[in-house]
Amino acid sequence: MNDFSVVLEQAQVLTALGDLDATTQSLIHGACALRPGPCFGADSAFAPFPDEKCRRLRCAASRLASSLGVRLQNNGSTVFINCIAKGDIHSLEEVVGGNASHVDLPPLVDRQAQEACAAMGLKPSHIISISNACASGAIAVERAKELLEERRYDCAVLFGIESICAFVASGFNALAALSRHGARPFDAKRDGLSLGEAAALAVLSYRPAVKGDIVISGAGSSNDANHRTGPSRTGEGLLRAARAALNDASMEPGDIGAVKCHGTATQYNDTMEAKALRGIFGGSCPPCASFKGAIGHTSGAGSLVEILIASRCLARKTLPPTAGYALHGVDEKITLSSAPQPIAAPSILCLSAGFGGVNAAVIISEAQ
Amino acid sequence: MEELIHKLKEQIISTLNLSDITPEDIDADAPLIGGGLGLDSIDTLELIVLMEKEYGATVPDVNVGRKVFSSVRALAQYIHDNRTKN
Amino acid sequence: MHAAGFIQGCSAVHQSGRYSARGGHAAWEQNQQGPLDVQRKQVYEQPLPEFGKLQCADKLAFSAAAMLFGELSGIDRTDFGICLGTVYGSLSTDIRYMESLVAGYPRPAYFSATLPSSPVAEVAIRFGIKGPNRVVCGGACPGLSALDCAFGILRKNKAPAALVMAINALEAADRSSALIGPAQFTEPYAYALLISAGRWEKGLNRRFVFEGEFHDRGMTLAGDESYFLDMILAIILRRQCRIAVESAGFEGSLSIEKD
Repeated sequence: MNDFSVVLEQAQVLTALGDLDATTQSLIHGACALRPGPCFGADSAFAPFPDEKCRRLRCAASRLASSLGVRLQNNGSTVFINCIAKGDIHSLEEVVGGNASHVDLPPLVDRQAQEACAAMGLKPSHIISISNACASGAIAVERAKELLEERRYDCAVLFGIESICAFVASGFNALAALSRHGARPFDAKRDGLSLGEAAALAVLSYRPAVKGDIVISGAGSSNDANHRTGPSRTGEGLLRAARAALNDASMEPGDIGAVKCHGTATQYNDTMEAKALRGIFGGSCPPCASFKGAIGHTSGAGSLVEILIASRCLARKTLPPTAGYALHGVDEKITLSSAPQPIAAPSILCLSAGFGGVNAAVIISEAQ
Repeated sequence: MEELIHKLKEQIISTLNLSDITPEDIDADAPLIGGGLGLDSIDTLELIVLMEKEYGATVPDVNVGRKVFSSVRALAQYIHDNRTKN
Repeated sequence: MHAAGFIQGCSAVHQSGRYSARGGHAAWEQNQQGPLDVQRKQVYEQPLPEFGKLQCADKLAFSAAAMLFGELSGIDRTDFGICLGTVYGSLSTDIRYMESLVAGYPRPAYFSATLPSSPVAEVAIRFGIKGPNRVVCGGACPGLSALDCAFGILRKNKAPAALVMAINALEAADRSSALIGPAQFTEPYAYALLISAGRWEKGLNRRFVFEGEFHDRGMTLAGDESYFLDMILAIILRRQCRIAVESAGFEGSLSIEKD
C-alpha cells in the first residue's frame, strides 16, 4: 500500500447554468435552469445550453479545453475516455429523416471521440468509449481509477457531451418518463424527469495527494438484474454499488459528509434511491441533494458532470439545495433540503443509475 | 367481439414479437401483463401505442391502463367502446 | 500489459455456427441465415416467450450467455461482473426506432434497446447477474477492451468472475446504410468467456494469458475479433495455442495453456 491517490487534477463543465464555478455558485443559490417545453417535440420542461453552439461536439470540447482553462499535455501516456449513453445520433436523424443520402464516415462513436481529441489538441495513447447509459461518466471514473492504479497510463482524460435531440426526447416520452412542468426530485408531487444539456472534461492522475486536492477515493458499480428500464423496487443494486465504492475506499458510511443523489424525479427512481440510502446509512443519513431539478438529466455525460460539480461543493463545504423539492415525497427520512446544507466530513458519495439496471457510485474526498 | 379478440391476439403476438406463441396459446381472460407471456411495463406502453395507432383508442392514465390490460377480453371491450378508427 | 486468468466457460454464435466449451460446434439449420436467425431452442432449453422480442444485439449476447451458462450448473452468478465490447450497438434497432418516430408512433421497446449497453441488461436480468458492469463501444477491438476491463475487476477482487462478451450486431442490411461504409462491414457474431482469477473446484480451468499494448493507429470499425473464436476452438479441442493479435487497436497475444 502506498500513499498515492487518484487525483482530480483539472475539471470543467458546461451546463445550462454555465461553467463549473458558475454552475456550482448558481446551484448553491437555488437557481433553476429549466424552461418550458416543447422539448424537441415533447411537452416537457428542459435545460438547454445557454449557447446553442455548444451542442456541436467540436465547439463544446474546444471551449472546455481552451477558453475555460483546462491544460492538456501530450507528454506522458494518456488514456482518453469518452462517456456516451448513445452517442451522436444527429446524423442518423438526417439519414432516416431523408435529409441526407450519405453521412461522413468513420462510424459515429469513434468519430465523436476522435473529434473531441482533435478539437482539444490532445494526442492520447489510447481512446476508449464507455457506454453504460446514464451511469457512463461514473463507470468511466471507475475504469480510469483502475487503469491509473495499475500504472498503465500517466494520465486519464474523461470527456462527455449530451445535447438533446428528437430521438432521445421522443424515446423518454414514449417511456412516459418525462415531467411536463419540471423535475421535482424526491418531492411528493414529482411526475418525471427533465432533460438537460451538458458537457464535462476531467483530468485524473495518480500521485501523492497534497492538502486541498480532490481525490477519487473509491468507485463501484452493479446491475439490478430486474427490468430493461425501471430500477429495482428495493434499491438493492444501488446499495450494492455504494457498498462496493465504500469498500474500494476502505471507508465506512459514517465517513461520508454528503450524498450527490441520482434523483431523476421519476416516481420509481426516487422511491428506490431513498430505500438504497436508508440501507447504506440506516438512521444516520448525511445531507443529500439532487441537481437534476436545476440542470436537468444530462444522460451519459451527466454522471461525470455531477461528480465534478460535487467536487466544487466539497471544496466549499456546502451542498446545494435540491431545486424542485418542497414536500418530502418518499417514505424514508433522508436529509434533503430546499436550502443549502453544510458538509461536515470531507467526502461526498456520488450516485448514478441508468437504463438497463446499471448503478454506479463514486466517492470523492478532499485531502486533509 | 370474438373476431376482435382473435385479431388482437394476432396483433399482440406480432407487435411484441412473441415468436414462440400462437393465438391459441393466449387465454382471452388471463392477465396480460405479468402473466405467462413474459410481458413487462414496456410492453404495456407498446400496447398503448398499438391501440392508438390501429384503433384510435387512447388510454389516458395508468389506472385506466390497469383495467384495460387486465385481459385480452377487457382490452377488446375497451377498444369496442372507445375506438375512433376502423 | 500482462494479465492471466482461468477460463471457466466459453461460447460463440457465428456465421459458421454455434460453439460452446463442452458442446463443441453445431452448424445452423439449412433454412437459417446465421447468428441473427438463431432459434431459442438452439441456445436455451427453457421456454422463454421474451426471446422473440429481443433486438439484434440483445439476442446475440443472450444466446452466447445462455449457451455458456447452460454448461455450468450449480454456480452462483449473483456477484459476477459483466464486461461487454460492442462494435456499435444495434443499428437496425436505431433505424426501426427512427422510422417509428417519423411515422408518428415512436415505439418504446425499440428505444430502450438502442443503447449500446442494452445487451448487458438482458443478460443480467435473465441470469441474475448483479456485479460490476462495463460496456466499451466502438474502437478497433472493443472485445479486447472488455477483456481488459474484466481483468481490472478481478485484480481488485470486485467480483469472483466476469462474463466477457464481444458482439457485433450489424446486419447485412446495414451494409447499405449511409452510416457505415461497405468496406467496414463484417458478419454479426457474439463471443462469450467466463473468466476467474483462480482455479475453481470442478471448473474448466483453462489458464490463459493476455498480453500486449492497446493503441489507436487509425480508427476503423472493429475487425471481426476472430481471435476470440480461435481461443474458443482451442478450448473445445483441448489444445494449447498462442494467438498473435495485430489489429488497428491492439498488438500482443492471447495464449491458452495446456489443459
